[in-house]
Amino acid sequence: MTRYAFSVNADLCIGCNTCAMACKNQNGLDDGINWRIVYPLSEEIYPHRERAFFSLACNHCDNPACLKGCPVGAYTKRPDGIVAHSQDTCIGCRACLLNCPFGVPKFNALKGNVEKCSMCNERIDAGMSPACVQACPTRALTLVDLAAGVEGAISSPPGFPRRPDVGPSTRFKMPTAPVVVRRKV
Amino acid sequence: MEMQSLDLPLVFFTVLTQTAIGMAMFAALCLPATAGASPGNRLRTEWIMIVVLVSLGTAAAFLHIGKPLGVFRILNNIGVSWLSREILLVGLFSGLAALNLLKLLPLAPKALQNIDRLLLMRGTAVVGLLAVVATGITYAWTGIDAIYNIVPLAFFLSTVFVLGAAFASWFVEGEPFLKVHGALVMALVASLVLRICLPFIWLSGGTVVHNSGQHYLQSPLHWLHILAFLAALYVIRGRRIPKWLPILLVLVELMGRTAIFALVETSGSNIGNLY
Repeated sequence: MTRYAFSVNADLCIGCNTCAMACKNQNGLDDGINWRIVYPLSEEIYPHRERAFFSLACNHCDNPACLKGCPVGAYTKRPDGIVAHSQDTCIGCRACLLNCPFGVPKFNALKGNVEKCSMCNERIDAGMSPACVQACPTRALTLVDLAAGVEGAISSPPGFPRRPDVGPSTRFKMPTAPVVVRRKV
Repeated sequence: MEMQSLDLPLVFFTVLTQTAIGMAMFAALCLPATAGASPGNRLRTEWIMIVVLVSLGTAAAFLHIGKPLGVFRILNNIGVSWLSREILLVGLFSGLAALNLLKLLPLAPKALQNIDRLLLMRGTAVVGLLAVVATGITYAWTGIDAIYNIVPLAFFLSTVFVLGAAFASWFVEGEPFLKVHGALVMALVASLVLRICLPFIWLSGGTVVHNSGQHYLQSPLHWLHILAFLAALYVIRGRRIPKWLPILLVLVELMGRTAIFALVETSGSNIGNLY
């Protein structure tokens, strides 16, 4: 059984925010609402002059806290691992905002409901990649199948909440030290 | 660092419903005593207050919801969601409180008159306490490490006992008053110990929990709450509870609840930094 997940390769990510823009365009998000956010890593985690980034949206957890806390059942976990959210069912109680350890769901005050990344499940169902994955110019962001295994990836890197109880599916590759190019003297 | 957004409707919802539940609990415990000189009027006033408080709290909760017209769906996920269970139990408590009041009115239906008053009151109090437990579990939000534990339940129970005992003092006298006074002293002391210790315990946690502790220790809301409770303990020495004290304690609890909603930090607010 396929188990979709985002894979974030921080060694390739240049923090261009194309993924976040593609997400916003694909889903027609209102001002101030971002389903995907590019987080810079602090100097304690990546102590170099170059910066490194995690591009994060919903982590489509194994045991989603949003789903368990939602009183109206607006969240569903698909067999392929995607945690889908129904904006029509949502009443905007914001319990999921407080339950998600990763700050993923966003409250849209204009619509009166919560929104979040759906992993572009309608695109996946049509055999396409999520908009963010398709737009990434460096292939730092990819869609992987956890059932097939993801080599060399970790699930709880520094700078990301370690929550095995909810089981986030996103996999990470940490950035390596930047290559310093010097002229020969 | 970003803290969780302040949600005033939830501050009012939790404090007002917990006050009503505390009052119902003490009303049930003190019923034989209140059945003294003019039990009808006294009990009626008490239950009118309980119904008004729980109604105001519920109305405040509606202000928090983005689509209030969709609330009929709130029981959809009762199998797993503690928020659904909380709403069900608070609704049940509200209904039972209204029944208690109706039973005290001259126009009460015959079937209601036949129900044992003490049994109805105790049943209402038990449902109320279950609602507080459900609220405590609901507010142990998975995304807020500092309170993803028993802390919300401890805070909520302290509110139930402090405000329940304080308001019960308006409706009892003699021996039961002394018991209510004792309960208020114990509730204030327990609440103070919790509030003084908690931020220091948080300081020993990871970055996010540590920050929550720091926000608390730097917050005037936190220290004013502690000072107000100490002052309340001083005022009620000599086995007396001034009539104005419950009103002051409600305001103080609203302030304290605002602090917990505004000052604790969410886990997701620290992404990209060390945890």
